[in-house]
Amino acid sequence: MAYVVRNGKLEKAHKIKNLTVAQKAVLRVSTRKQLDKLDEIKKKMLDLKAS
Amino acid sequence: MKSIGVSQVSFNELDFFFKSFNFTQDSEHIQKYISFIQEASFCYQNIIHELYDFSDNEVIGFTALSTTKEVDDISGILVEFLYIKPQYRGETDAVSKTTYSHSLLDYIITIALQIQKQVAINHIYLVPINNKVREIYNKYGFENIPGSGSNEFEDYMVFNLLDEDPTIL
Repeated sequence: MAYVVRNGKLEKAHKIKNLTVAQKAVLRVSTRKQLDKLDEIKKKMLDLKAS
Repeated sequence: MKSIGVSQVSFNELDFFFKSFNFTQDSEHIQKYISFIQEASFCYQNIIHELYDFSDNEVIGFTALSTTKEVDDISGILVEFLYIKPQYRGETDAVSKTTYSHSLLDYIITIALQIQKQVAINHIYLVPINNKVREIYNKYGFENIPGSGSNEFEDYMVFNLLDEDPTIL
């Protein structure tokens, strides 16, 4: 469960329903930064497996 | 020089683990959040992973992970909380040259990629507790899901594990 500070109080984050087109776009396609990070970590995992 | 490692905290170690921290330097909200995290971990609702220096076994921070469908029923791993002790915030690990928070995020992505091979979970979500922390996650690669919270400070963030998720149209 995620929490946020709302009106000075710690409360549960709201559930997201009915994603908008803009929100779906963020979830559908990875950014260059995300892909680079994934490549970096996958390489580390392979190196670790090989060692 | 610190040599850092990350490992899961077993259920039997949880009580001792949380008692080893002194959270009094943290805000009232953070302390309350941690008490929720701790309570949930005792009920098997999240798993705690610790970041530590294995040269002296000092704990540097921890994260609490669970799964969620809170984002429009699209399953994902939820980073419920990521905590770095105040004296290590913004500090860089000498070996990896990354901050401790980013080292812990690297570990979370590694776990997620391992899980993804066996369970179809393709997204990692989190909700930063404040904007300063949001910047840290943004710098790492998490993206704001715009307008997903009651206000911009409550927006969920996501890190995608697929190049493109064909199920989200």
